[in-house]
Amino acid sequence: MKNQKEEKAILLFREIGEMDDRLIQEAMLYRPKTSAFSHVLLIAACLVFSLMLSVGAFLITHRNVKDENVGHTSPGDGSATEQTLDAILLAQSDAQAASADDIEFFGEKSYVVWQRTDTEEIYVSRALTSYEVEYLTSEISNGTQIEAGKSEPICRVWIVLGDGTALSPHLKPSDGNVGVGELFDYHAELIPSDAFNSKISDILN
Amino acid sequence: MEDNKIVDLYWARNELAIHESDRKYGRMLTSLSFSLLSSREDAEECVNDTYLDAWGAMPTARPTYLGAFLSKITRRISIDRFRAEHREKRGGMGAIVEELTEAIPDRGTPAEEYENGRLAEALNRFLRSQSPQRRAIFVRRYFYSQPVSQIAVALKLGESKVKVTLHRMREALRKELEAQDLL
Repeated sequence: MKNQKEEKAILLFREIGEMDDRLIQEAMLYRPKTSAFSHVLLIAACLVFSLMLSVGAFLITHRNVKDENVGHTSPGDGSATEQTLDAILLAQSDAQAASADDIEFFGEKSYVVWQRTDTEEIYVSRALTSYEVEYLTSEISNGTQIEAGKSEPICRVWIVLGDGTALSPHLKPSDGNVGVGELFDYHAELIPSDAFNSKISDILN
Repeated sequence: MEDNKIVDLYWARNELAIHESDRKYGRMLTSLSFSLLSSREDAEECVNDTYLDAWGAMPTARPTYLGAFLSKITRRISIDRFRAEHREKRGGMGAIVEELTEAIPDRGTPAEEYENGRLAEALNRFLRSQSPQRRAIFVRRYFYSQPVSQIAVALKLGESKVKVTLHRMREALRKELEAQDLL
């Protein structure tokens, strides 16, 4: 009976391959909707953030504070966030360069991997916790589109998930943008979100 | 490049069609094949065979959804390769087939309904009756053979939610197949 059931399960598995193209397409394009409550929270967070910025700017102006230490990014050039991610990664002067062969794609552990495009050197973070993986992968969709003509980031970045797949925070999270068992080359499409950068900074520091 | 433009290239017998297909869908197809075969080399060969198959199928076929069309070919080729090579049952396709036995009614009669398309029709009907989210979970797991963890990330769900949904869908599918006297 078990063998017969297995044989039928194989038939069923094959027949699933003959399902309506539209259902396949629709399922792969399906993305969970953000609830109205989340929108309200987001708007509220933006308002609070704007208010904090305004108060901060007011205080700085009135105290005539001059901050001599700013200098990593050039405000107003529209690419501060991306520079920050590059800056975070390039600041890892203690990191040991690794070989692409050292990366365990199927070791069930997840890592952040980055490669400097100028030196081709590859670096690997410590193993990520499942919370960090969930946080980083969900933050990828919050990246913003890179404007046409903007230069590519210095570091290529991937999140290697331990089941063979690799995602990049510089690419829209679609199924065509998943690597299997390799660090695939790409042209950056997204600037990772501040939250993503902040989490990377926490992980590496 | 948009799907219809790539299909136009196939129809024009322009080899750029294969290059563009690979650029747009190569990683997805490799991932699909790899999840069935657990071998990167085999997966890459299956994806290359997919493009050859697609090249042979067009210009007769004119798929509206090129991604789904290529995925079906990759899946078929990968399953054939898996069965031909009798790989161990624990990994790859074996594990998924084991899960699907739960959707098979306990009957001893031989099943040939699949040959005349009744089973595929029943599956389509079953899936259309499900919510978009449940459909997405089912298709990702049983068509694309994605790991539960990957589905959970893609759909922003917990892994346990994905597992429970799949379990309930297998149960519902079994009842549906029983009711229609299939399998």
